[in-house]
Amino acid sequence: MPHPVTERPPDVDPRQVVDAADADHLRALYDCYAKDLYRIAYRLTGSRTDAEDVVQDVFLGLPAALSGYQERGKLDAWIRKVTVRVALGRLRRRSRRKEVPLESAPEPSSGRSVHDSVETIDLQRALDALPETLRSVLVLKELEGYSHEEIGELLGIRAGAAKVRLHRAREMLRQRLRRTP
Amino acid sequence: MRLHPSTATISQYEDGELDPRKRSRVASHLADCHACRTRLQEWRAAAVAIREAPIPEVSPDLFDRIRRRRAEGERMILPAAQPTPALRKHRLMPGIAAALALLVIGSAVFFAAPDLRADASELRLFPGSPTAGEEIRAEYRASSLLSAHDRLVLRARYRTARDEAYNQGMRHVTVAELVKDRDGVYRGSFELPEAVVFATFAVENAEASRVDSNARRGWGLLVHGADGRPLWEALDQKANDLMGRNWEAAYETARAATELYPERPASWSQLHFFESAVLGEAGMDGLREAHRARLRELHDILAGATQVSGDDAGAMFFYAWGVGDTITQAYWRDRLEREHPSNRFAVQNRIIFELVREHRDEPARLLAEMERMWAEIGPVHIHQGDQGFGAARRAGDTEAILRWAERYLHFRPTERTWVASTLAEMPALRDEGLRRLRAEIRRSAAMRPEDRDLFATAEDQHRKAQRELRELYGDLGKALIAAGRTQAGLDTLTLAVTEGWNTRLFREVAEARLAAGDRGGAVELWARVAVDPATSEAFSDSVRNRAGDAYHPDRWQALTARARDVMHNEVLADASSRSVRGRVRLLDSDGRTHSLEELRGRQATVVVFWSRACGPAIEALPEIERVAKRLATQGVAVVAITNEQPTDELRAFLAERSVSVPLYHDTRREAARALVQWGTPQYFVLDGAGRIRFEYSSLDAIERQVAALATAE
Repeated sequence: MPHPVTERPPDVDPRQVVDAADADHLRALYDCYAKDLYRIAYRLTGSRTDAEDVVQDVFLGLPAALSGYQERGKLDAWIRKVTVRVALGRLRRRSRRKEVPLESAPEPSSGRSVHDSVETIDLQRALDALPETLRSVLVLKELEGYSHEEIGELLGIRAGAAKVRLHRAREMLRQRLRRTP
Repeated sequence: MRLHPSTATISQYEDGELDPRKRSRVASHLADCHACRTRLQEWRAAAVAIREAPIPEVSPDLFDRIRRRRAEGERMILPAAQPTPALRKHRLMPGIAAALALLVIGSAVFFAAPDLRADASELRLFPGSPTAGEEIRAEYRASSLLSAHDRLVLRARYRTARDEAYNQGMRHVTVAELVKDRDGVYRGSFELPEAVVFATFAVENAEASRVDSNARRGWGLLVHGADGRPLWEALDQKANDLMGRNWEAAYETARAATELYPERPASWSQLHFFESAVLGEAGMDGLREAHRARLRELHDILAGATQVSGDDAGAMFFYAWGVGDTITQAYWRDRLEREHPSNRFAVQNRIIFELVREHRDEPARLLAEMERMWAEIGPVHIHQGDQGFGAARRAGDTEAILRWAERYLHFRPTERTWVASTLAEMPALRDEGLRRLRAEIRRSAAMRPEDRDLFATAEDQHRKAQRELRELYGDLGKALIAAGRTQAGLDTLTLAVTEGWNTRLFREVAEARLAAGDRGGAVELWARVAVDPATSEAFSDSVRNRAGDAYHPDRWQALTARARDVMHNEVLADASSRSVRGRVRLLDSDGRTHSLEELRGRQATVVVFWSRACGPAIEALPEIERVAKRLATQGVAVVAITNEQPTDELRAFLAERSVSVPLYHDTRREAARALVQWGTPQYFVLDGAGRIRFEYSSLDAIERQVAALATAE
């Protein structure tokens, strides 16, 4: 029995809100979260420029959005989800305009890492090569650990569809990684 | 024809969505089917890469750009209205407050510990598949943790073919200096010693105040053979190195060994061992038959061979023992004994199954047998050392005790302190014990760099050495008093308790002071024992009775107040500060998903990693219950986590033991990854803001740590 994604509308006393519009406070939030948010955005958009734009947008809107936020401890999850939404919005706009990110991951690739992991450059290239509908599902699952229900809600598809896309994405990514030398 | 599960089914298996029966069927198929297993492994590798593989750096001026655009009046409306989380009344956003305090206030002792995460660093070694003794070039890309330095140090834990499991007492060496090149990459080179088959590396600054341990994984290097495969011994040592610190990776290594060396029984015996450790008994259900079949296959090949090596025969014995095939086990024990009587496994068997059992109540006989074995074959197995030393002590043979102490230390050189204390406790060998304890104190003060753990900073090592030193002073003090040198003993015991927090030592030293007539000094230490949260309420009353006129209510109050301060400071000195990486989702016993965040306590959270397959974890259950009950009244949540699926069997197991602490299921291993867990039972203490402040804690320390965190907040 899947559990429903319950998220309540804002219901906040403005007096309790820390003034995130204060530049020092915003900087502190940035130092705390920017790196993680950038990673999410980068994995979703596959582009450094797009990922930085997403982070910019998030922090431009954060002070106002925070006035509607109130919960101990969940800030991290909340701010990540907001970032996911912004990144997905950007992807949708990009695909409407049929844009392709200009750069691919500029990582050095000579020699093999001793750490048993998939080569960085191959990974992003292989991820980028996945159809966007599959890539988003895979990144949201593996990076953010969202449930099928949450992924469905974020992408506007049914949970069942998210599940199907997930195993297709896993398999397709594997095939692509196998093909790269 | 073999029917493979669909990718959809394997995907559901990976996400913990299959019911127990189907799960066990898939698990058993995976154990046997190379193709499906490889598929799953490659999915996992890709998932790890998505989470962890480096990505391009964020532009350093990004925040300035944001600030400029904000100054120009630009604003964004974020798609955030819908998912605003539920309101909790009358709290002033402590999540943000903590984030701000960390960076803006910065002066509070509480937040002084730097958050030393090294998530963007990378070490590459060339060649990545070296042969023995080869010259290695290292390239290191530093994260912000180490990037400010021009020169860094590459350290290693080298393993040779016969090194033991776990990393206790392993030696560590500085292998190269890494110098920063113009491109920002640190480079250096070194020669791999000929005997080394596996090495784990870490990078640190020259002062060893910062260590990049690659999130406690280190970087590993396997020595390869001429045929391009990693040596079997290299894989074996990699698994030994990972044992106790990352069971899953050890399991993966054992798997790789069965794929590369399927003909070696030790590959399979190791795989079975790690499989049991990782999957637990319940998870083994579907795999046992496959192992029995494999054992029979290997037996049919090897039993017909005229020449079988001692290690192969020993591995067959252990494999048969592991899967519970007593007939095959007896066959190989017999062949091992007949054909390779001085093989280490044969020696181990002879000591455990014959000598110790037969001569349990006759230490002198056992000792004579051990002497005979030593004369015939020399040092082969650690059990010669520990059983011989034990038999000599029980037999009370002074000369034999000293002889066997040395033999034991031949196998376990790191146990010098224990041997010294043991000798000091024996009246006939007290002087020898005292001499050795003093030598250990000198050695401990000298802090040899090779003793420092690969992932420990110099500061970590210093604190560890200080803890050991205090124990040594305790042992030395007690031995001196026993030798009639009361004043010297009391002075030494005072050294043992001037720093640190060890209530056992406090009690022991208090008793010694009381016995010497120093009741005031005893009361001082009892005050420390009394304020420790693990001490019972009744203790204070007993102090009043035993201290007599040395007890004054006002003085007692002042002493306990000071003791409390001392405790908090000592505890906080060991605190770290690291965030929980990524999202952690756990299933409750009804299969509902919860995030770790929503399970957290107001003041603090204790995370307990627990397993039904782990003896010590089961033994700890009653104490976990007691601690959880006491902490519940203080706004501290105890979250117990297992990697097992919620099943009726598990529920019955818990009900039988009246466990009321809720157990959550980390079926995706997100909690294990986020907290860097590697064993059970394992305890972590998170503060009110959800940061990990005490890692790998112990049950008796948890309440102190929670109390100290409360004062720091």
